[in-house]
Amino acid sequence: MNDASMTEPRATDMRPQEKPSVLEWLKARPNVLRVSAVVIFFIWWELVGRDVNPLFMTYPSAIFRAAWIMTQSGELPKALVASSLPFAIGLSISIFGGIVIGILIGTFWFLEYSLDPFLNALYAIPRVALVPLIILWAGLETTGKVTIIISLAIFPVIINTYSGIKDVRGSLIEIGRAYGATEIQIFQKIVLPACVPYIMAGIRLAVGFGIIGIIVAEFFTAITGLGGLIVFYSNNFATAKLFVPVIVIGILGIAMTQLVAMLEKRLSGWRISERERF
Amino acid sequence: MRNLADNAVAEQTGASTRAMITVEGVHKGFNVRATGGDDGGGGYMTVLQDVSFDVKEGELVSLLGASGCGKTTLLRMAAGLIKPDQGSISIKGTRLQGPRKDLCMVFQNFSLLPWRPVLSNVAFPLELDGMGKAEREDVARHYIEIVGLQGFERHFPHELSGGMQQRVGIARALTRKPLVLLMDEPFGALDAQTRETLQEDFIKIWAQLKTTVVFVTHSIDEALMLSDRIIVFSSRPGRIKRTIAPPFAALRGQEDVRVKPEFGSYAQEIRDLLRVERTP
Repeated sequence: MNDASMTEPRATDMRPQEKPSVLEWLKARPNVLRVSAVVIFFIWWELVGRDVNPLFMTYPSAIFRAAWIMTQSGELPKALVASSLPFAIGLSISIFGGIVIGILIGTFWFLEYSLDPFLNALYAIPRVALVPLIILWAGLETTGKVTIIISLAIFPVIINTYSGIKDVRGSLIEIGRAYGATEIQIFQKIVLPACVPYIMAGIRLAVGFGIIGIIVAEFFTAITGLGGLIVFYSNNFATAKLFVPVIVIGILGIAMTQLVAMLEKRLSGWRISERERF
Repeated sequence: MRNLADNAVAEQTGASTRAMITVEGVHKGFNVRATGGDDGGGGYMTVLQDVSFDVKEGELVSLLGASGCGKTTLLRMAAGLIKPDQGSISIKGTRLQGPRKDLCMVFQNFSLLPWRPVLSNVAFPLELDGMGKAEREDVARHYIEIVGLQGFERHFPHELSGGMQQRVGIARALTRKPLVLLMDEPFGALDAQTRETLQEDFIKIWAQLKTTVVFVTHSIDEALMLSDRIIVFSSRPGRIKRTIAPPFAALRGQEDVRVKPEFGSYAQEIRDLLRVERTP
Protein backbone atom coordinates (compact mmCIF):
# COMPACT_ATOMS: atom_id res chain seq x y z
CA MET A 1 0.00 0.00 0.00
CA ASN A 2 2.68 2.38 1.08
CA ASP A 3 4.75 1.47 -1.90
CA ALA A 4 1.93 2.21 -4.30
CA SER A 5 1.24 5.64 -2.86
CA MET A 6 4.92 6.44 -3.03
CA THR A 7 5.35 5.51 -6.64
CA GLU A 8 2.16 7.21 -7.75
CA PRO A 9 3.34 10.83 -7.89
CA ARG A 10 6.56 9.76 -9.57
CA ALA A 11 4.59 8.18 -12.37
CA THR A 12 2.62 11.36 -12.99
CA ASP A 13 5.81 13.42 -12.86
CA MET A 14 7.18 11.53 -15.79
CA ARG A 15 7.01 13.70 -18.85
CA PRO A 16 6.17 12.21 -22.20
CA GLN A 17 9.36 11.37 -24.08
CA GLU A 18 10.53 14.32 -26.14
CA LYS A 19 11.34 13.76 -29.78
CA PRO A 20 15.01 12.70 -29.88
CA SER A 21 17.26 15.51 -31.09
CA VAL A 22 19.70 15.15 -33.97
CA LEU A 23 22.60 14.93 -31.54
CA GLU A 24 21.03 12.03 -29.68
CA TRP A 25 20.35 10.31 -32.97
CA LEU A 26 24.03 10.68 -33.86
CA LYS A 27 25.18 9.54 -30.44
CA ALA A 28 23.30 6.30 -30.88
CA ARG A 29 24.99 5.71 -34.26
CA PRO A 30 28.73 6.26 -33.80
CA ASN A 31 29.56 4.86 -37.22
CA VAL A 32 27.69 7.64 -39.00
CA LEU A 33 29.93 10.20 -37.39
CA ARG A 34 33.07 8.14 -37.90
CA VAL A 35 32.50 7.68 -41.61
CA SER A 36 31.43 11.31 -42.14
CA ALA A 37 34.51 12.58 -40.33
CA VAL A 38 36.81 10.49 -42.51
CA VAL A 39 35.02 11.52 -45.71
CA ILE A 40 35.16 15.21 -44.76
CA PHE A 41 38.84 14.86 -43.88
CA PHE A 42 39.64 13.38 -47.29
CA ILE A 43 37.67 16.05 -49.15
CA TRP A 44 39.46 18.75 -47.18
CA TRP A 45 42.83 17.08 -47.81
CA GLU A 46 42.07 16.80 -51.54
CA LEU A 47 41.16 20.50 -51.77
CA VAL A 48 43.98 21.89 -49.64
CA GLY A 49 46.63 19.35 -50.71
CA ARG A 50 46.52 20.50 -54.33
CA ASP A 51 47.75 23.96 -53.34
CA VAL A 52 50.80 22.76 -51.40
CA ASN A 53 54.17 22.20 -53.04
CA PRO A 54 54.09 18.52 -54.17
CA LEU A 55 57.62 18.07 -52.77
CA PHE A 56 56.25 18.30 -49.23
CA MET A 57 52.67 17.24 -49.39
CA THR A 58 50.31 15.37 -51.63
CA TYR A 59 46.58 14.70 -51.87
CA PRO A 60 44.37 11.58 -51.94
CA SER A 61 43.74 11.32 -55.67
CA ALA A 62 47.47 11.62 -56.37
CA ILE A 63 48.18 8.86 -53.85
CA PHE A 64 45.51 6.72 -55.44
CA ARG A 65 47.01 7.27 -58.88
CA ALA A 66 50.49 6.45 -57.53
CA ALA A 67 49.14 3.26 -55.94
CA TRP A 68 47.63 2.22 -59.25
CA ILE A 69 50.89 2.81 -61.11
CA MET A 70 52.93 0.98 -58.47
CA THR A 71 50.53 -1.96 -58.51
CA GLN A 72 50.55 -2.13 -62.31
CA SER A 73 54.33 -2.13 -62.41
CA GLY A 74 54.44 -4.94 -59.86
CA GLU A 75 56.50 -2.82 -57.53
CA LEU A 76 53.96 -2.72 -54.70
CA PRO A 77 52.99 -6.43 -54.74
CA LYS A 78 56.68 -7.37 -54.79
CA ALA A 79 57.42 -5.12 -51.83
CA LEU A 80 54.39 -6.47 -50.00
CA VAL A 81 55.58 -10.06 -50.38
CA ALA A 82 59.13 -9.08 -49.45
CA SER A 83 57.82 -7.60 -46.19
CA SER A 84 55.07 -10.11 -45.43
CA LEU A 85 57.19 -13.23 -45.53
CA PRO A 86 59.74 -12.18 -42.91
CA PHE A 87 56.91 -10.60 -40.92
CA ALA A 88 54.95 -13.87 -40.87
CA ILE A 89 58.02 -15.94 -39.98
CA GLY A 90 59.22 -13.48 -37.33
CA LEU A 91 55.83 -13.13 -35.72
CA SER A 92 55.20 -16.90 -35.65
CA ILE A 93 58.57 -17.55 -34.02
CA SER A 94 57.94 -14.72 -31.55
CA ILE A 95 54.54 -16.09 -30.57
CA PHE A 96 55.51 -19.75 -30.26
CA GLY A 97 58.93 -19.09 -28.80
CA GLY A 98 57.54 -16.45 -26.46
CA ILE A 99 54.83 -18.77 -25.14
CA VAL A 100 57.30 -21.63 -24.63
CA ILE A 101 59.90 -19.45 -22.89
CA GLY A 102 57.19 -17.76 -20.82
CA ILE A 103 55.80 -21.11 -19.68
CA LEU A 104 59.28 -22.45 -18.88
CA ILE A 105 60.39 -19.49 -16.78
CA GLY A 106 56.94 -19.27 -15.18
CA THR A 107 57.04 -22.93 -14.18
CA PHE A 108 60.66 -23.69 -13.27
CA TRP A 109 62.27 -21.41 -10.71
CA PHE A 110 65.71 -22.51 -11.86
CA LEU A 111 65.14 -21.11 -15.33
CA GLU A 112 63.33 -18.09 -13.99
CA TYR A 113 66.21 -17.00 -11.80
CA SER A 114 68.94 -17.79 -14.28
CA LEU A 115 67.29 -16.18 -17.33
CA ASP A 116 65.86 -13.21 -15.45
CA PRO A 117 68.91 -10.91 -15.76
CA PHE A 118 69.25 -11.51 -19.49
CA LEU A 119 65.59 -10.94 -20.23
CA ASN A 120 65.55 -7.79 -18.12
CA ALA A 121 68.67 -6.44 -19.79
CA LEU A 122 67.37 -7.17 -23.29
CA TYR A 123 64.02 -5.68 -22.43
CA ALA A 124 65.57 -2.56 -20.97
CA ILE A 125 67.84 -1.85 -23.97
CA PRO A 126 65.89 -0.14 -26.77
CA ARG A 127 66.00 -2.96 -29.30
CA VAL A 128 66.44 -0.47 -32.15
CA ALA A 129 69.89 0.14 -30.70
CA LEU A 130 70.74 -3.48 -31.48
CA VAL A 131 69.58 -3.35 -35.10
CA PRO A 132 72.99 -2.49 -36.62
CA LEU A 133 74.52 -5.35 -34.65
CA ILE A 134 71.82 -7.77 -35.77
CA ILE A 135 72.35 -6.74 -39.39
CA LEU A 136 76.06 -7.29 -38.93
CA TRP A 137 75.42 -10.82 -37.73
CA ALA A 138 72.35 -11.89 -39.64
CA GLY A 139 72.65 -9.89 -42.83
CA LEU A 140 70.29 -7.65 -44.77
CA GLU A 141 67.95 -10.25 -46.14
CA THR A 142 65.19 -12.40 -44.63
CA THR A 143 67.27 -13.74 -41.73
CA GLY A 144 68.18 -10.23 -40.65
CA LYS A 145 64.61 -8.96 -40.92
CA VAL A 146 63.24 -11.97 -39.03
CA THR A 147 65.80 -11.54 -36.26
CA ILE A 148 64.94 -7.85 -35.86
CA ILE A 149 61.21 -8.65 -35.68
CA ILE A 150 61.80 -11.35 -33.06
CA SER A 151 64.00 -9.04 -31.01
CA LEU A 152 61.04 -6.67 -30.72
CA ALA A 153 57.99 -8.94 -30.73
CA ILE A 154 59.02 -11.85 -28.53
CA PHE A 155 59.24 -9.92 -25.27
CA PRO A 156 55.60 -8.99 -24.78
CA VAL A 157 54.67 -12.63 -25.39
CA ILE A 158 57.27 -13.93 -22.92
CA ILE A 159 56.38 -11.41 -20.25
CA ASN A 160 52.63 -11.83 -20.58
CA THR A 161 52.77 -15.62 -20.59
CA TYR A 162 55.06 -15.54 -17.58
CA SER A 163 52.85 -13.21 -15.56
CA GLY A 164 49.82 -15.24 -16.63
CA ILE A 165 51.34 -18.35 -15.09
CA LYS A 166 52.38 -16.47 -11.96
CA ASP A 167 48.93 -14.93 -11.57
CA VAL A 168 46.88 -18.13 -11.70
CA ARG A 169 44.86 -17.94 -8.54
CA GLY A 170 45.77 -20.48 -5.88
CA SER A 171 42.08 -21.22 -5.43
CA LEU A 172 41.87 -22.44 -9.03
CA ILE A 173 44.81 -24.79 -8.56
CA GLU A 174 43.26 -26.01 -5.33
CA ILE A 175 40.22 -27.23 -7.30
CA GLY A 176 42.56 -29.48 -9.22
CA ARG A 177 44.32 -30.71 -6.07
CA ALA A 178 41.07 -31.34 -4.21
CA TYR A 179 39.76 -33.40 -7.12
CA GLY A 180 42.96 -35.40 -7.35
CA ALA A 181 44.33 -33.98 -10.60
CA THR A 182 47.92 -34.88 -11.51
CA GLU A 183 50.46 -32.08 -11.94
CA ILE A 184 50.20 -32.44 -15.70
CA GLN A 185 46.39 -32.25 -15.55
CA ILE A 186 46.60 -29.16 -13.37
CA PHE A 187 48.89 -27.54 -15.93
CA GLN A 188 46.80 -28.60 -18.94
CA LYS A 189 43.35 -28.02 -17.60
CA ILE A 190 43.82 -25.17 -15.14
CA VAL A 191 47.06 -23.20 -15.49
CA LEU A 192 47.18 -23.05 -19.28
CA PRO A 193 43.54 -22.06 -19.91
CA ALA A 194 43.80 -19.49 -17.12
CA CYS A 195 46.77 -17.97 -18.99
CA VAL A 196 45.07 -17.66 -22.36
CA PRO A 197 43.84 -14.08 -21.83
CA TYR A 198 47.37 -13.01 -20.85
CA ILE A 199 48.89 -14.80 -23.82
CA MET A 200 46.39 -13.19 -26.19
CA ALA A 201 47.22 -9.74 -24.80
CA GLY A 202 50.89 -10.54 -25.42
CA ILE A 203 50.14 -11.55 -29.00
CA ARG A 204 48.22 -8.35 -29.59
CA LEU A 205 51.26 -6.34 -28.50
CA ALA A 206 53.56 -8.60 -30.52
CA VAL A 207 51.65 -7.81 -33.73
CA GLY A 208 52.19 -4.09 -33.19
CA PHE A 209 55.86 -4.56 -32.38
CA GLY A 210 56.26 -6.91 -35.34
CA ILE A 211 55.00 -4.25 -37.75
CA ILE A 212 57.39 -1.72 -36.26
CA GLY A 213 60.11 -4.35 -36.48
CA ILE A 214 59.70 -5.08 -40.18
CA ILE A 215 59.66 -1.40 -41.12
CA VAL A 216 62.66 -0.56 -38.95
CA ALA A 217 64.50 -3.51 -40.45
CA GLU A 218 63.76 -2.32 -43.97
CA PHE A 219 64.74 1.24 -43.16
CA PHE A 220 68.16 -0.01 -42.21
CA THR A 221 68.53 -2.45 -45.05
CA ALA A 222 66.69 -0.12 -47.45
CA ILE A 223 66.68 -2.53 -50.33
CA THR A 224 63.39 -4.38 -50.37
CA GLY A 225 59.93 -4.34 -48.92
CA LEU A 226 57.50 -1.61 -47.92
CA GLY A 227 60.03 0.02 -45.63
CA GLY A 228 62.50 0.07 -48.52
CA LEU A 229 59.91 1.82 -50.71
CA ILE A 230 59.38 4.48 -48.06
CA VAL A 231 63.09 5.24 -47.84
CA PHE A 232 63.51 5.17 -51.63
CA TYR A 233 60.66 7.54 -52.46
CA SER A 234 61.41 9.86 -49.60
CA ASN A 235 64.97 10.21 -50.92
CA ASN A 236 63.46 11.01 -54.33
CA PHE A 237 60.91 13.49 -52.95
CA ALA A 238 58.12 11.43 -54.58
CA THR A 239 55.69 12.24 -51.80
CA ALA A 240 52.60 10.66 -53.38
CA LYS A 241 54.42 7.37 -53.87
CA LEU A 242 55.87 7.60 -50.38
CA PHE A 243 52.36 7.64 -48.97
CA VAL A 244 51.35 4.41 -50.70
CA PRO A 245 53.40 1.98 -48.56
CA VAL A 246 52.56 4.00 -45.45
CA ILE A 247 48.85 3.54 -46.10
CA VAL A 248 49.28 -0.13 -46.99
CA ILE A 249 51.08 -0.67 -43.67
CA GLY A 250 48.28 1.16 -41.87
CA ILE A 251 45.64 -1.04 -43.46
CA LEU A 252 47.64 -4.19 -42.72
CA GLY A 253 48.10 -3.11 -39.12
CA ILE A 254 44.39 -2.51 -38.65
CA ALA A 255 43.52 -5.83 -40.28
CA MET A 256 45.98 -7.77 -38.11
CA THR A 257 44.82 -6.07 -34.93
CA GLN A 258 41.18 -6.81 -35.78
CA LEU A 259 42.06 -10.42 -36.46
CA VAL A 260 43.80 -10.79 -33.11
CA ALA A 261 40.93 -8.99 -31.36
CA MET A 262 38.50 -11.46 -32.91
CA LEU A 263 40.64 -14.38 -31.84
CA GLU A 264 40.97 -12.88 -28.38
CA LYS A 265 37.23 -12.53 -28.04
CA ARG A 266 36.76 -16.13 -29.09
CA LEU A 267 39.39 -17.61 -26.83
CA SER A 268 39.11 -15.42 -23.78
CA GLY A 269 35.63 -13.99 -24.01
CA TRP A 270 34.92 -15.38 -20.54
CA ARG A 271 37.56 -13.10 -19.12
CA ILE A 272 36.21 -9.99 -20.84
CA SER A 273 32.63 -10.56 -19.75
CA GLU A 274 33.79 -11.57 -16.28
CA ARG A 275 35.54 -8.23 -15.99
CA GLU A 276 32.48 -6.36 -17.17
CA ARG A 277 30.46 -8.00 -14.45
CA PHE A 278 32.74 -7.47 -11.49
CA MET B 1 43.05 -63.11 28.33
CA ARG B 2 43.39 -64.14 24.74
CA ASN B 3 39.65 -64.14 24.34
CA LEU B 4 39.35 -60.66 25.72
CA ALA B 5 42.02 -59.34 23.38
CA ASP B 6 40.29 -60.95 20.42
CA ASN B 7 37.04 -59.41 21.45
CA ALA B 8 38.65 -56.02 21.69
CA VAL B 9 40.05 -56.35 18.18
CA ALA B 10 36.68 -57.47 16.87
CA GLU B 11 35.02 -54.53 18.49
CA GLN B 12 37.53 -52.12 17.09
CA THR B 13 37.20 -53.35 13.54
CA GLY B 14 33.45 -53.34 13.95
CA ALA B 15 33.58 -49.72 14.97
CA SER B 16 35.88 -48.68 12.17
CA THR B 17 33.64 -50.16 9.48
CA ARG B 18 30.68 -48.26 10.86
CA ALA B 19 32.64 -45.05 10.97
CA MET B 20 33.20 -43.38 7.62
CA ILE B 21 35.72 -40.87 8.88
CA THR B 22 37.82 -41.28 11.99
CA VAL B 23 39.73 -38.28 13.25
CA GLU B 24 42.17 -39.23 15.99
CA GLY B 25 44.24 -36.89 18.13
CA VAL B 26 44.79 -34.35 15.39
CA HIS B 27 47.11 -31.45 16.09
CA LYS B 28 47.90 -28.72 13.61
CA GLY B 29 49.84 -25.52 13.87
CA PHE B 30 51.32 -22.95 11.56
CA ASN B 31 54.35 -20.71 11.69
CA VAL B 32 53.13 -17.17 11.73
CA ARG B 33 54.98 -14.00 10.87
CA ALA B 34 56.89 -12.34 13.69
CA THR B 35 55.23 -8.95 13.16
CA GLY B 36 51.79 -8.15 14.48
CA GLY B 37 49.47 -10.68 16.03
CA ASP B 38 47.53 -10.23 19.21
CA ASP B 39 49.33 -12.96 21.11
CA GLY B 40 52.58 -11.07 21.43
CA GLY B 41 54.48 -11.56 18.21
CA GLY B 42 55.07 -14.42 15.85
CA GLY B 43 56.22 -17.97 16.20
CA TYR B 44 54.12 -21.05 16.24
CA MET B 45 50.36 -20.86 16.46
CA THR B 46 48.36 -23.93 17.36
CA VAL B 47 45.26 -24.08 15.23
CA LEU B 48 43.86 -27.43 16.26
CA GLN B 49 44.58 -29.25 19.46
CA ASP B 50 43.83 -32.88 20.16
CA VAL B 51 40.78 -33.21 17.96
CA SER B 52 39.14 -36.64 17.83
CA PHE B 53 35.73 -37.59 16.50
CA ASP B 54 34.18 -39.81 13.94
CA VAL B 55 31.51 -39.47 11.33
CA LYS B 56 29.27 -42.42 10.65
CA GLU B 57 28.26 -43.55 7.22
CA GLY B 58 25.38 -41.50 5.86
CA GLU B 59 25.63 -38.95 8.64
CA LEU B 60 25.60 -35.19 8.16
CA VAL B 61 27.97 -33.65 10.68
CA SER B 62 28.58 -29.94 11.06
CA LEU B 63 31.80 -28.42 12.32
CA LEU B 64 30.69 -25.21 13.98
CA GLY B 65 32.85 -22.45 15.36
CA ALA B 66 33.90 -18.86 15.08
CA SER B 67 36.31 -17.90 12.32
CA GLY B 68 39.84 -18.88 13.19
CA CYS B 69 38.84 -21.99 15.11
CA GLY B 70 40.52 -24.24 12.59
CA LYS B 71 37.38 -25.85 11.22
CA THR B 72 38.30 -25.11 7.62
CA THR B 73 41.83 -26.35 8.30
CA LEU B 74 40.32 -29.56 9.61
CA LEU B 75 38.19 -29.92 6.49
CA ARG B 76 41.20 -29.35 4.26
CA MET B 77 42.99 -32.07 6.22
CA ALA B 78 40.03 -34.39 5.72
CA ALA B 79 40.29 -33.61 1.99
CA GLY B 80 43.93 -34.65 2.09
CA LEU B 81 45.07 -31.18 1.00
CA ILE B 82 47.18 -30.66 4.11
CA LYS B 83 48.56 -33.11 6.63
CA PRO B 84 48.05 -33.04 10.38
CA ASP B 85 51.17 -32.44 12.49
CA GLN B 86 50.11 -35.21 14.82
CA GLY B 87 47.32 -37.73 14.82
CA SER B 88 45.57 -39.24 11.87
CA ILE B 89 42.47 -39.11 9.74
CA SER B 90 41.13 -42.36 8.33
CA ILE B 91 38.46 -43.08 5.79
CA LYS B 92 36.75 -46.43 6.40
CA GLY B 93 39.75 -47.49 8.44
CA THR B 94 42.33 -46.52 5.80
CA ARG B 95 44.68 -43.78 6.83
CA LEU B 96 44.43 -40.72 4.61
CA GLN B 97 47.69 -39.91 2.78
CA GLY B 98 46.59 -37.28 0.27
CA PRO B 99 43.59 -36.23 -1.81
CA ARG B 100 41.29 -39.14 -2.61
CA LYS B 101 38.96 -39.20 -5.55
CA ASP B 102 36.02 -40.38 -3.46
CA LEU B 103 36.16 -37.36 -1.14
CA CYS B 104 34.68 -34.40 -2.96
CA MET B 105 34.83 -30.81 -1.91
CA VAL B 106 32.34 -27.97 -2.21
CA PHE B 107 34.15 -24.66 -1.78
CA GLN B 108 33.02 -21.52 -0.04
CA ASN B 109 33.83 -19.27 -3.00
CA PHE B 110 32.31 -21.78 -5.48
CA SER B 111 35.68 -22.18 -7.26
CA LEU B 112 34.39 -22.92 -10.71
CA LEU B 113 36.65 -22.78 -13.75
CA PRO B 114 35.56 -19.47 -15.33
CA TRP B 115 36.40 -20.48 -18.91
CA ARG B 116 34.23 -23.57 -18.82
CA PRO B 117 30.49 -23.63 -19.25
CA VAL B 118 28.36 -25.31 -16.58
CA LEU B 119 28.33 -28.70 -18.28
CA SER B 120 32.08 -29.10 -18.50
CA ASN B 121 32.58 -27.60 -15.04
CA VAL B 122 30.33 -30.30 -13.61
CA ALA B 123 32.02 -32.99 -15.72
CA PHE B 124 35.49 -31.80 -14.66
CA PRO B 125 36.17 -34.48 -11.99
CA LEU B 126 35.14 -37.23 -14.42
CA GLU B 127 37.33 -35.68 -17.09
CA LEU B 128 40.26 -35.99 -14.66
CA ASP B 129 39.33 -39.66 -14.24
CA GLY B 130 39.68 -40.14 -17.98
CA MET B 131 36.01 -40.85 -18.67
CA GLY B 132 34.91 -40.33 -22.28
CA LYS B 133 33.27 -37.05 -23.25
CA ALA B 134 29.80 -38.36 -24.09
CA GLU B 135 29.62 -40.52 -20.99
CA ARG B 136 30.80 -37.89 -18.54
CA GLU B 137 28.49 -35.29 -20.02
CA ASP B 138 25.56 -37.66 -19.54
CA VAL B 139 26.47 -38.04 -15.87
CA ALA B 140 26.97 -34.29 -15.57
CA ARG B 141 23.55 -33.61 -17.11
CA HIS B 142 21.97 -35.93 -14.57
CA TYR B 143 23.44 -34.01 -11.65
CA ILE B 144 22.75 -30.64 -13.24
CA GLU B 145 19.12 -31.70 -13.26
CA ILE B 146 19.31 -32.83 -9.64
CA VAL B 147 20.54 -29.41 -8.52
CA GLY B 148 17.86 -27.76 -10.66
CA LEU B 149 20.02 -26.12 -13.31
CA GLN B 150 18.74 -27.82 -16.45
CA GLY B 151 18.78 -25.37 -19.32
CA PHE B 152 21.93 -23.67 -18.03
CA GLU B 153 24.42 -26.25 -19.34
CA ARG B 154 25.95 -23.83 -21.84
CA HIS B 155 26.12 -20.85 -19.47
CA PHE B 156 29.43 -19.63 -18.13
CA PRO B 157 29.89 -19.18 -14.38
CA HIS B 158 29.96 -15.39 -14.65
CA GLU B 159 26.53 -15.50 -16.26
CA LEU B 160 25.07 -17.17 -13.16
CA SER B 161 24.11 -15.79 -9.77
CA GLY B 162 26.06 -16.85 -6.69
CA GLY B 163 23.42 -19.36 -5.68
CA MET B 164 23.41 -20.93 -9.11
CA GLN B 165 27.20 -21.08 -9.11
CA GLN B 166 27.15 -22.99 -5.87
CA ARG B 167 24.58 -25.38 -7.33
CA VAL B 168 27.15 -26.05 -10.04
CA GLY B 169 29.74 -26.60 -7.29
CA ILE B 170 27.48 -29.13 -5.59
CA ALA B 171 26.69 -30.93 -8.85
CA ARG B 172 30.40 -31.14 -9.63
CA ALA B 173 31.12 -32.69 -6.24
CA LEU B 174 28.35 -35.27 -6.72
CA THR B 175 29.43 -36.55 -10.14
CA ARG B 176 31.91 -38.98 -8.66
CA LYS B 177 29.30 -40.39 -6.27
CA PRO B 178 31.68 -39.59 -3.43
CA LEU B 179 31.86 -41.50 -0.17
CA VAL B 180 32.07 -38.19 1.63
CA LEU B 181 31.01 -34.72 0.64
CA LEU B 182 33.21 -32.08 2.27
CA MET B 183 31.52 -28.70 2.35
CA ASP B 184 33.44 -25.60 3.38
CA GLU B 185 30.90 -22.95 4.40
CA PRO B 186 29.17 -23.62 1.09
CA PHE B 187 26.38 -21.10 1.63
CA GLY B 188 28.43 -18.55 3.57
CA ALA B 189 28.99 -16.26 0.60
CA LEU B 190 25.30 -16.05 -0.35
CA ASP B 191 22.65 -13.56 0.66
CA ALA B 192 20.14 -14.68 3.26
CA GLN B 193 17.27 -15.58 0.90
CA THR B 194 19.44 -17.50 -1.53
CA ARG B 195 21.10 -19.28 1.38
CA GLU B 196 17.76 -20.52 2.68
CA THR B 197 16.66 -21.79 -0.69
CA LEU B 198 19.94 -23.59 -1.16
CA GLN B 199 19.80 -25.10 2.31
CA GLU B 200 16.35 -26.47 1.65
CA ASP B 201 17.28 -27.78 -1.77
CA PHE B 202 20.49 -29.26 -0.48
CA ILE B 203 18.60 -31.20 2.17
CA LYS B 204 16.29 -32.60 -0.51
CA ILE B 205 19.25 -33.64 -2.65
CA TRP B 206 20.99 -35.14 0.35
CA ALA B 207 17.87 -37.08 1.32
CA GLN B 208 17.96 -38.72 -2.12
CA LEU B 209 21.64 -39.57 -2.11
CA LYS B 210 22.38 -40.20 1.59
CA THR B 211 26.06 -39.39 1.20
CA THR B 212 28.15 -38.80 4.28
CA VAL B 213 28.60 -35.06 4.68
CA VAL B 214 31.03 -32.98 6.71
CA PHE B 215 29.75 -29.46 6.72
CA VAL B 216 31.77 -26.51 7.97
CA THR B 217 29.74 -23.50 9.05
CA HIS B 218 29.75 -20.57 11.41
CA SER B 219 25.98 -20.23 11.36
CA ILE B 220 24.26 -21.77 14.38
CA ASP B 221 20.88 -21.87 12.62
CA GLU B 222 22.33 -23.56 9.60
CA ALA B 223 24.04 -26.20 11.72
CA LEU B 224 20.85 -26.87 13.71
CA MET B 225 18.69 -27.12 10.61
CA LEU B 226 20.92 -29.43 8.62
CA SER B 227 22.91 -31.66 10.92
CA ASP B 228 22.59 -35.02 12.56
CA ARG B 229 25.34 -33.93 14.87
CA ILE B 230 27.07 -30.63 15.51
CA ILE B 231 30.66 -30.52 16.70
CA VAL B 232 31.20 -27.18 18.40
CA PHE B 233 34.76 -25.86 18.32
CA SER B 234 36.47 -23.39 20.59
CA SER B 235 38.83 -20.85 19.09
CA ARG B 236 42.60 -20.58 19.21
CA PRO B 237 43.50 -23.29 19.64
CA GLY B 238 40.58 -25.13 18.09
CA ARG B 239 39.37 -27.84 20.40
CA ILE B 240 36.13 -29.75 20.45
CA LYS B 241 33.93 -28.08 23.00
CA ARG B 242 30.90 -30.26 22.78
CA THR B 243 29.07 -32.52 20.40
CA ILE B 244 25.37 -31.89 20.08
CA ALA B 245 22.79 -34.06 18.36
CA PRO B 246 19.86 -31.76 17.62
CA PRO B 247 16.47 -33.51 17.56
CA PHE B 248 15.39 -31.85 14.33
CA ALA B 249 17.14 -34.29 12.02
CA ALA B 250 13.97 -36.28 11.35
CA LEU B 251 12.04 -33.16 10.32
CA ARG B 252 14.62 -31.86 7.89
CA GLY B 253 13.14 -30.76 4.63
CA GLN B 254 9.57 -31.20 5.83
CA GLU B 255 8.95 -28.20 7.99
CA ASP B 256 10.70 -25.12 9.18
CA VAL B 257 12.36 -26.34 12.37
CA ARG B 258 13.35 -22.84 13.36
CA VAL B 259 9.87 -22.09 14.67
CA LYS B 260 10.04 -24.97 17.15
CA PRO B 261 10.50 -23.83 20.74
CA GLU B 262 13.38 -26.26 21.32
CA PHE B 263 15.20 -24.71 18.38
CA GLY B 264 15.63 -21.50 20.30
CA SER B 265 16.97 -23.21 23.38
CA TYR B 266 19.45 -25.27 21.35
CA ALA B 267 20.59 -22.15 19.53
CA GLN B 268 20.97 -20.35 22.83
CA GLU B 269 22.98 -23.21 24.27
CA ILE B 270 25.40 -23.14 21.35
CA ARG B 271 25.59 -19.37 21.43
CA ASP B 272 26.57 -19.57 25.10
CA LEU B 273 29.17 -22.24 24.32
CA LEU B 274 30.73 -20.01 21.71
CA ARG B 275 30.51 -16.92 23.90
CA VAL B 276 32.16 -18.33 27.04
CA GLU B 277 35.59 -18.28 25.54
CA ARG B 278 35.34 -14.74 24.27
CA THR B 279 35.66 -13.38 27.80
CA PRO B 280 39.37 -13.39 28.51
